[in-house]
Amino acid sequence: MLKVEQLTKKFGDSVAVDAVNFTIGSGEVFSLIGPNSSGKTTIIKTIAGLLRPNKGQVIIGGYDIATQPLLAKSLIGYIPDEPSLWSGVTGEEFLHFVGALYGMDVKARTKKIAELLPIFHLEDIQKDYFENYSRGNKQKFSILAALLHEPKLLLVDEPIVGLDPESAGTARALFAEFARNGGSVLLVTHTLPVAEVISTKIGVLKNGSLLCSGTLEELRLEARLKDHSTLEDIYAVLTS
Amino acid sequence: MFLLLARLHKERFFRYFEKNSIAKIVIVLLFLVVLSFLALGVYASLKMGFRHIALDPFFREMLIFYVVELFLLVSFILVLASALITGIFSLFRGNGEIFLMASPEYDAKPAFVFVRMFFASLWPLLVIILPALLAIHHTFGLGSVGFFLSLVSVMVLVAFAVLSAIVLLLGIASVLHFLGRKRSSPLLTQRNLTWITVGAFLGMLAFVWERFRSVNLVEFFQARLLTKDVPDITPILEQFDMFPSHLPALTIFFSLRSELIEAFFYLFVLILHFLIGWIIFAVLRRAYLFMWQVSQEGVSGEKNASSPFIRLETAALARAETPLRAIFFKEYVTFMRNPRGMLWFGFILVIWGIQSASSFVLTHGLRGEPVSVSAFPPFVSMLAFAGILYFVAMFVLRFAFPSFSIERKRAWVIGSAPVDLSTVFMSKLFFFAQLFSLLAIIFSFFNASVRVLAPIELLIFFATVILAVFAITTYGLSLGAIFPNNETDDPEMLSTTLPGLAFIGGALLYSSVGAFGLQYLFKMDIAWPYAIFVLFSCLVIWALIRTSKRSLATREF
Repeated sequence: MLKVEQLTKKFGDSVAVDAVNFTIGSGEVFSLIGPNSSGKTTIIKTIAGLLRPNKGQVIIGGYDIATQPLLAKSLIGYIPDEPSLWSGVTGEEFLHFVGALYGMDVKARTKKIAELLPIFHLEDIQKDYFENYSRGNKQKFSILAALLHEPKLLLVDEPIVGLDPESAGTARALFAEFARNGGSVLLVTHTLPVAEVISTKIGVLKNGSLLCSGTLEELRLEARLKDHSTLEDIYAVLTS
Repeated sequence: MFLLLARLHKERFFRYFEKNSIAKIVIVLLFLVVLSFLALGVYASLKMGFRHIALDPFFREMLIFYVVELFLLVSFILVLASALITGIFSLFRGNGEIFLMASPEYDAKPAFVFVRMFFASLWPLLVIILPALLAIHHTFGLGSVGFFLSLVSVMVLVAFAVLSAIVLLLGIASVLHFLGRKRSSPLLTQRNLTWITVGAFLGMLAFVWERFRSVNLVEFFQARLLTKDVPDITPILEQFDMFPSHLPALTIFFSLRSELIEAFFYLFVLILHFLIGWIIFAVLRRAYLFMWQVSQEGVSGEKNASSPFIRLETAALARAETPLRAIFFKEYVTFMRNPRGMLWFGFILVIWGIQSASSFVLTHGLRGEPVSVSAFPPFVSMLAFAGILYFVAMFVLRFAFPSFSIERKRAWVIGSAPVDLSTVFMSKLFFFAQLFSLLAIIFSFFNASVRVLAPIELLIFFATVILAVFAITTYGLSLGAIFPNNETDDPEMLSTTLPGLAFIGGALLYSSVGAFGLQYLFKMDIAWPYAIFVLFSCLVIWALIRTSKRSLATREF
């Protein structure tokens, strides 16, 4: 579903992402972990079409994000780390707006919104303005907006930050179920226990380069750690 | 505390120049050049006008007094309106000084807001007041002491206007808090405060309008009175004596007559008014922290998304079938639900209203006189056209020009969706061009009462206004799209950037060219300047849309 080849992104002279390669197939959850400023958000924004790569390719469902952006973007659902939204817009209006951007017809999106709102128990606040929402509730609406048009690839930047424990669990389950149903998930996170639980593959980034990627077992081997070692242990060894 | 805050602002000022220093120094220099030209223009045009007034021994004194009274009254209203808008947000909703509210020096904030608003209101006025006083000085021989007294009196008037705004806001907040103290939901909310303030301000405007509406200028200036050498100034005193701006006007009037004791007396009375205002302010300030706290709670307590009007807006978004329509209605919804933006919108409308009302007073005040409208329709049409485009340019600068930059943080929503960014541009263009065209047409009809144009001329006038509004909106929106600002999303700051200045310069030039084209057509039946203007407008619209689309195609978020 997603093929990232030699992806390079520079900001002026500074190299934020340096020749990164990875693929995500259907039914996979790929987590990118790494220290601050390692290039995680830059990668996910480039895949989402918000930044343009200096070199390399991003192919989504066979479409190149640089040359066929509209077709590629129609397959993506993007959840940003900072859910900044229009303060005077209600949650319900926001979901309709996003549905219209993705070309969903009115009936289909109205039905889908009614199905999605109960996931995070948002029915009662859907008519309230974003300026009155907590950060967590804004995040929940941005998760629902990403799922609304039934994408094939979900790009999730720091999914748990701002969510209460119950909602964090719901979000985790949601992403896992999305992958089980044939979708692909790219997760960028600092919350290593989450990545450990739901990922089928994990990539470790540092200074814009992908140090290694693979299953948890493969990473343990790479880090030369024992079987019971956690992702936190692996991360500490690989990024030190 | 004040020294600390002043230092913080000084450091913020210098930090502004740390990045892109050369570009920012150029912006500041250009800004100063623009202001200097404005000041020079004010000086030259007023001096020319004052010379004409000075040539007439009958009207000389009364006319200059009337001009000063009118100018100071309009200035007072504008400063008051601007201070009310800024005050609502700075006093009760600004997050910038949250550290101050958490400190034991919290009650310094209202005084700090007063100082900031005073300087913000003073400098644009000084750019006009100083050259105006100099023009009076050079034409009528205003002495240096008189000049000084006049300048001080205008500065005190500005301070009084700002203080009145703050006292009014604190007063309304206190009453709302007092009336709502036993209710389950507080009465002191941002919405209530805004509506009551707007109501109070409109009431004040109605009071002013009532005093001017029915004035017969011929009788007022005693133009047919042949028995006296100079007209009696009593009508002016009666018309303006209720307004605070009357006191500095009297200071200027007596300074002109070299009666400095009287001039100083009226300045003293004005200062006394200010001091009484400050005492009221000091009393109201005691409850400020409490009012501030309650108004923070009120923000999250305001749920008005269920009103019928809001439901219609929601339905429009919910039924949008294409991205273009969805973005169009999103623009509409975010525009209508931005209280600060709406207040500024109302503020520009008020200024436009004052201009139109003065046209109305002029027409009706001179009704039946042979010197009236039939003598100058082409000239008045030209002025009306330039005036309408000037106000449209103000709206474009405040709303359309910053619309790409202010959405920087929320760009991920549309940027990650399968939407061509040229659709975003066109949606915004349709929204703003329709809105501003509607306003321009309404005000054109209002101004039409001044002109006596043939139906075909009126048709040409309206068509040209719509074309020019579309061109100016495209110009402002394009500049904002091609040169987005990554440092601020504050529309007021964005309006003073280099592209903002370039917009206003270009828009004024364009309006002037259009106005001359119309004048040539109406006055001398020469069509080619007008034809070139129309052709140029169409070309500009086409080229700017094309360039903006190309620029947006490579945009990163």
